[in-house]
Amino acid sequence: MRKSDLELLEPINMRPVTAKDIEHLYHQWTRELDGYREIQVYEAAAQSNWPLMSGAWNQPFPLPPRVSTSNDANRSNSGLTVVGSHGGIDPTSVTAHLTAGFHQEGWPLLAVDLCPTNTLRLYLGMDKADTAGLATQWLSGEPWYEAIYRGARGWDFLPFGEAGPAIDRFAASLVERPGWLAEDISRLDVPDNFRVICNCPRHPYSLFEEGIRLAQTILVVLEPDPLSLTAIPSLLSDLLRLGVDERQILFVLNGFLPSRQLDRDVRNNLQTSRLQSRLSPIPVHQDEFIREALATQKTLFDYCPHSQAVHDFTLLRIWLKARMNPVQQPDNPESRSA
Amino acid sequence: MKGSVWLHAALGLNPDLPIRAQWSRLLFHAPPTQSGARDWSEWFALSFPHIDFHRFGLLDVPRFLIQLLWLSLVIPPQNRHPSLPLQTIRIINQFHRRSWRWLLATQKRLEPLFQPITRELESAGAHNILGYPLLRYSAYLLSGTLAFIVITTPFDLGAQLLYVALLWGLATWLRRIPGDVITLIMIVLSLTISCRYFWWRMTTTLDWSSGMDITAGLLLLFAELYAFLILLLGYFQVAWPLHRKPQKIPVDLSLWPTVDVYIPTYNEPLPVVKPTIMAAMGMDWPRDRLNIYLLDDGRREEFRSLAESLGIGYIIRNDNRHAKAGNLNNALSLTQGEYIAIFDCDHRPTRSFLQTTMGLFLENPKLALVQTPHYFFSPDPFEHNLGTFQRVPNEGELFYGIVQDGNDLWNAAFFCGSCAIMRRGPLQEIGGIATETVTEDAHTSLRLHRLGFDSAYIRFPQAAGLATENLAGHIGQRIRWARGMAQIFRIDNPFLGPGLSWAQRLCYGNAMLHFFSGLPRLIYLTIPLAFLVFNAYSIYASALGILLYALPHIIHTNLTNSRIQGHHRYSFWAEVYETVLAWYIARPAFVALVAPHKGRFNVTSKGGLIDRNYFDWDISRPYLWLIGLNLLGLTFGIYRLIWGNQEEIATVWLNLAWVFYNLLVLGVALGVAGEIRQVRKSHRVKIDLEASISLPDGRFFSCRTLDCSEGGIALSVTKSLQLAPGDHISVNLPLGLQEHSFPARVIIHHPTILKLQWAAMPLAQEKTLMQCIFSRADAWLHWGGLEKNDQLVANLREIFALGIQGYQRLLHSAVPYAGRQPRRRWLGRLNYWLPHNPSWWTEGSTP
Repeated sequence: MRKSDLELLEPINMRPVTAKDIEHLYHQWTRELDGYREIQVYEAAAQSNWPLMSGAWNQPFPLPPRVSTSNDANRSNSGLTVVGSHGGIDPTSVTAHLTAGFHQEGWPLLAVDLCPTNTLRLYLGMDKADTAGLATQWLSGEPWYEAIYRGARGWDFLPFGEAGPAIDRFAASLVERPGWLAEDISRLDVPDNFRVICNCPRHPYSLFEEGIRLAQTILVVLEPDPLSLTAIPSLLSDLLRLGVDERQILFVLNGFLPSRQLDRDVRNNLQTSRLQSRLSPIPVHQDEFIREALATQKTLFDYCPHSQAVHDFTLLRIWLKARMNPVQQPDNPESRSA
Repeated sequence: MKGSVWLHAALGLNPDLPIRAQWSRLLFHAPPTQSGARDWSEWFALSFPHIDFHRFGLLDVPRFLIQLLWLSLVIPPQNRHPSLPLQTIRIINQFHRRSWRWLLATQKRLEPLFQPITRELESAGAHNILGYPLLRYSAYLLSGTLAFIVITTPFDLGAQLLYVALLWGLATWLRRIPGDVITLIMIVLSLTISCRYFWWRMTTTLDWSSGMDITAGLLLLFAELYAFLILLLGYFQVAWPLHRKPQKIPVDLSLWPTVDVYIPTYNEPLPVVKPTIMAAMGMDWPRDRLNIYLLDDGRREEFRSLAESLGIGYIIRNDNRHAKAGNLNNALSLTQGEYIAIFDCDHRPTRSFLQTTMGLFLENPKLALVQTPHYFFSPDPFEHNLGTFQRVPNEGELFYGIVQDGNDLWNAAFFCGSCAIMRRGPLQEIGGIATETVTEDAHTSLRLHRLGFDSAYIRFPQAAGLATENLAGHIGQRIRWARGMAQIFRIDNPFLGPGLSWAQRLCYGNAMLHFFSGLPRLIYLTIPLAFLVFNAYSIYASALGILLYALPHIIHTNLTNSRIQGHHRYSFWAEVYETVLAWYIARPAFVALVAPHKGRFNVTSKGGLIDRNYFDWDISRPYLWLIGLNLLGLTFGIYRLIWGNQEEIATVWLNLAWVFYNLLVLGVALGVAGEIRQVRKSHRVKIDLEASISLPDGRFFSCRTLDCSEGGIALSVTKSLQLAPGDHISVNLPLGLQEHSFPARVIIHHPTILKLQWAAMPLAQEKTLMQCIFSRADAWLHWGGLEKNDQLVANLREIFALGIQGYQRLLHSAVPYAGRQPRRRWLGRLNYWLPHNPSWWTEGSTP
């Protein structure tokens, strides 16, 4: 495992989450009164007249046939996979900030980047010239875990690597032996409450499938545009086919701007849909600070701790913690020794 | 070497200290703390805090010498031995604290013992055995006989002392134990003591032989009996508040009925009415079943066009007969909704209003009315002029916090004119809103109850309004209430006529009798003069007798009321509220009782501002007269103390104390009459919400809201932003599950506080903004939750301070130059020369 040779940074400047925050959030989520109905949201959703957004995405659909895999038992890995609702959405910034946040909270974790764009490393402090990663390591026949990189803040992550045209060979290995990465990771010698946070692409399918296998909870990143809504059914059917528990599919709206009518309407539509109970009550705002922080190669929490994005990611983290299953203890001690 | 050790020992100095510390110890009696931590010049500066050594002038020489003398003479407080009285007080305090601790500990230990008992007692009331009339009535008879014996048995003073001491001990112990049963026991104790007092008062303290004595005696007795009657009815009313919970409404939206919302207005300005309409439009109810109507008796064009552009109904009529009641009745004949919600034009409903109230209607088909509290987010004249806003419960809080909730138990919660919803059927059955009196609200619900309909009260505010902004307006409103209630008492007396249960009669009776408090209050404020000036004995008894009978009566009443009213009315404040109104409501109430059809409806004006400080001489004239009379009493009393009959000294002291208390309460009334400038056009509402601001460059900052109004918003930010006054930014506020963005302009930017003014926005956006501010379901739920408990002594101290402040304000207004400024200047001049305590005295402990 290589270590970054950056000098020791100051402790991360992150707004601590207080009990009051959580209480406030719950207050907001459960509404103030028992049985209270937010009629206005329903009416606003009904009034919003965007033909592309109305339609089948909100309807339950027949369960697709499940693909049984050899390593279903390995799904005990209680990690989190972050995936965009369709090809055009890059979930990397959400993954990166959740990684930083959960790490700050003291979770032992490994962030895995399966996106061939290989950008998670830039958020997490790797040198932009360094092209090593999972794919390159695998292609050169070295053990993949040697590509794990420890960021300046102490978080561990596995970059994808710049594989070039050889990426197809890597993908093919996953088609050949689905789930090998998940299996390998479960053999690592790690603490009990270890988690994987996976940055998962929507395409190619083999990488998508591998990413979904890595974790129990799936966080779908939506954007407040009609394409996200229309992409939901196909994504859901893919996820269910892979055997994901529907209750473990969570949604978050990324890039929200309250001043835009369409953004508000998409949010209303989601909040009144059948996905309502699994939608994060806090959207991540389209905050310029996210881009600026990346450009300055600092984490957002360092770059501007007062920004709304920091606040959003913090609350998203609390919500995820509440929604994710508690860590399951591994049954047989053998699986812990790699 | 040895010599220096000796010298040190002789002078009592520590040889290890540096020389300068030894010197200062010799000079100043007390060693500077934390020796060695500072250098000599710093000690010097700290010892002469009022002298600037960098600009040492000629005048500073004598000041320096005075200070030096002072330092060498005076012992710092932590080295001083406490004086004897101070020590005694400390010991008493310690004893008090310890005994309290012991008492509380004992109570805690005994709690498991008491819990089953109170539980048993609570369930005993519902026991079958009480269903047998014979048993029940013999229980009544037994307790009645026992009570009669306890009340009427004559005691000598020693026995009475023992008796009241025992009861007082019991009450002070009990009042800390929670539970409604304990409250009932406290009430029984209080009533026993009070009845005993009145028995004693009527049998032994009326001197029928002297005309003066008996006149004063009967006058005072009348006032006391009136207060006792109100106390009795009050106990009955509030003994067991219902705390009704909202009922769930059906999931199926098609079962939700149609609602008409009436917003009557007459002469209120548009900025007051507009947010109300917008908030009403934000109520969470299916849009096709919610109709909002603006009932404009002023027939103003701007209101019509506003209603049109907002898409709500606008109803006017040709005349203004029967004022608000007529206005509502006119609308009632024109609309069709199954339910009528009524909001005064300044009462902004929350979005949950209909959902919290409607469940009750759907559950009980006989329910005709659901009332919610009137909450005011702006200070009333008491709160504004005395500075007690959100610190001391205001006048209305007792009524909405306790009394209505108590009424609700007896199915006697009544209509208060606003923030209520009624079923159309019953309302039409009684012929619409009652128009015979000027308090149409209470009269309407009285009629509903007479026809056998039910009413309900929900204790948490679902709307908020503006309080009257000055004392004159406040008094005008109360005069109308007093007149109206007296009118109902005369023409539709709740004690007479069909249809009411006895409990409802008592509840309505108390509400009406309450407004006759003017005359008794005036008697209380003047009766000590009867003895001090005319030597007439209003209570023909020794001072000791009065102390042993009257004082326990007062103390128990206060203890019990303090327990019952706790958070909603602090002790002694009832006196203040009544004193302010006494003169003004005494006459109208009695006139209305005699000639119920005199007088007109006067509109309470709201939302105005007071552009300068002024003292309302017209309003305060009666207080000045009463103060004059009490001062006369004071003069006579002091004269009698010095030159009067020595046997009566104790009685003189008693009456002087009474006069003094009267003067204090009147002083507070004066304070209320001193109107303080109030220029803000819109009242800020304290809101603590997570919000964000977005700058034109796309950056978002998270922040919290501090307060918000129609005009602007104050935000607390964690970082100083690069903003200048005049910059345009957006504020994003949550509204339930939604979030909205509003344009604003920077006014002031402190490092952590950002004050913004709303920029111009389209009407639809303004509507959303008003809903963000006023419509949140939990916006006013903090009401009635003052964290501080009622503390008798602290309240008395506060009344004392406010009384003094009232006189100061009077002095300031009467003699413009006698105010604080010149005195302060004079004090400042003196202060220049006086020695000052060195800073290190207060710095903390000795090493």
